Amino acid sequence: MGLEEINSFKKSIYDSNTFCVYKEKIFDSFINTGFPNKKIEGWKYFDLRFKSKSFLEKEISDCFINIEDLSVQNTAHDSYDCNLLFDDYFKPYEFIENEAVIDFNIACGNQIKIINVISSQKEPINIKISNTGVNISLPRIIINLSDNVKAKINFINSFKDGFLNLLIEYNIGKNSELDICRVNKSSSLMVETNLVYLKSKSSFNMNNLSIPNSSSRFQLFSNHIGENSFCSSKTISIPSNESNDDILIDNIFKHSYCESISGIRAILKEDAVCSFQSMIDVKNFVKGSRAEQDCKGFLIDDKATMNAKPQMRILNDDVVCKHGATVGSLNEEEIFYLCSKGIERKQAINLILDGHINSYIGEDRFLKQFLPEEFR
Amino acid sequence: MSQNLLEIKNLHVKVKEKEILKGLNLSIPYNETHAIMGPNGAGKSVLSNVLSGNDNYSITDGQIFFKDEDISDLKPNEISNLGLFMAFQYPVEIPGVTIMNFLKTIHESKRRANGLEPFGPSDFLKYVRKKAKILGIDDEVLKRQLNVGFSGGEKKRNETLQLLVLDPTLTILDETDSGLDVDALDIVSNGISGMKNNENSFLIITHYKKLLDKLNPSTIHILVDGKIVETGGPDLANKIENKGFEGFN
Repeated sequence: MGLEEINSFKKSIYDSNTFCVYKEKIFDSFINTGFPNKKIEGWKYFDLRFKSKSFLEKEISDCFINIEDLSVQNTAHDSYDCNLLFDDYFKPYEFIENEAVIDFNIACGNQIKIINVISSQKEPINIKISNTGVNISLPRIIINLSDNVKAKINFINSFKDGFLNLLIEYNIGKNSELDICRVNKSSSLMVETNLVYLKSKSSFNMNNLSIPNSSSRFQLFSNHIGENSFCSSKTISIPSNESNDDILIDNIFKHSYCESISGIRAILKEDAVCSFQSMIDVKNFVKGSRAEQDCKGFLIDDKATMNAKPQMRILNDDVVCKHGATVGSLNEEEIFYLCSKGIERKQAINLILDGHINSYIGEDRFLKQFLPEEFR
Repeated sequence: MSQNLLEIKNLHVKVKEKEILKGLNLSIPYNETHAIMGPNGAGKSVLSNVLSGNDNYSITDGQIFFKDEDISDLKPNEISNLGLFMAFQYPVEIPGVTIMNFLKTIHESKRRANGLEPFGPSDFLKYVRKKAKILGIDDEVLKRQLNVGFSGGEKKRNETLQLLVLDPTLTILDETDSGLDVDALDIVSNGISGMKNNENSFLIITHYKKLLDKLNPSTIHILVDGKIVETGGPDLANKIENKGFEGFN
């Protein structure tokens, strides 16, 4: 990134309040780390720096964040910096050091939507992300669940024609449960970072259907800050031809007796590429952790690519962990079995893949409607 | 039109570079039940796989006629939709696909291939329940994932259910009796016997006489080292039961 471009970015930072100094600091940190993410050097992610270059001269603009079906006693509102407490505003920056896409969003973002869920929801809350124009959008959504609340969110990201760097924070109260059905059908360059803070006995379940038509990166950092908290993140990744789908899941155990499940089923056709990186991170003072991560990549065509990197960093002996990764083509024996009963080869392949989707995320009607037609 | 439903002429088959079937000849007329018996490694399962169109096996010579059509180069689904059904010795597990969904898919495929409209959902449900009842299979089993976690007997019973639903012209039972206890063998063989009519035929591949006693084949073929070495009546099975395959080399 050249000096001229940096200056151009600095000018674009919208701020008129006391946070300006900290934003400058964060912006400098993000410039030092690399634009906009260190992971381009770290592993087999698509090169965000290269891909986002064409957007550098564009303006930073809002995208549309629509929230529907939020019951009366709960609230959703737009907020600028002055409405947030200092700690809340900078919490992501403190939490994940040197995560440049987060730094970038906090330093340059000018759109914040806050959803407070103080009572249990009968119907799912619908959140939709969309945009017009070909600009950079740096929105941030903060979702707060009070204690003893159950809620479900249907989340659709249909960003197109631009560069989206979205930051979502989930603060899950004690004894609360949040279920999320996420659909990523973005068709332009997109990074979405999810930060989850789990208080004691809380749970967070995300079923994630990722069907990008461009380059997409999804990051989830679940932070177990209370005992007996639970986090599940299951992804079905079906990027279209010549698309990249990068998935990073970090489960950080900061309290005892917590549990996490993370995994992916990737169906890759033609030139599609998927990268899955998952981390189980158990601190040395944390006991009784249970965690599992698994990855299955189905390469339907010869040119399709799957990269898998399951990782564990465990500093305490009182832990039960499982991990596994398999990548390959479909089992010909299974295909023959179905074909020998009268099913055409293509339909047999789709039936097997549909079976893997069903057995992984269940019969989720909301997600199923967004699956490519052959799997519905 | 030939009086034979299946006619195999001088069939040579290789698996990788090894020749397994070495000039096999076999004819099965309409409305007949035949059995093939033979020692391990004789080529029985290879034959059933080749008849089903498994392209892991290379036909190097010979022809296979089914309903007067040479099926040597047909795909497995095309052979199936012509009316040939193989009940597998080792049915594979397909996670996430329910038995009901699978049955609906194969039944629709067959009807479409034969220019017929698929059944509507309620008609198909009635049709499947009727067939399942014959085999003592209840609705809960139909909701299970295909062969996942099934015992050997349950898998064979499920294969037989597919057979009843598709109602094929020629059925190959590849060691369907293995893994079945006495009661399950009774249920399955009664179900198969009930299907017999003037227009279909059966080819039973087995090591044992139990299933033959239930299904009463008219003709027994002895397959040794890739060839049919003897063909005879039901007494041939008794001979093998008493003396084994030694005399057939």
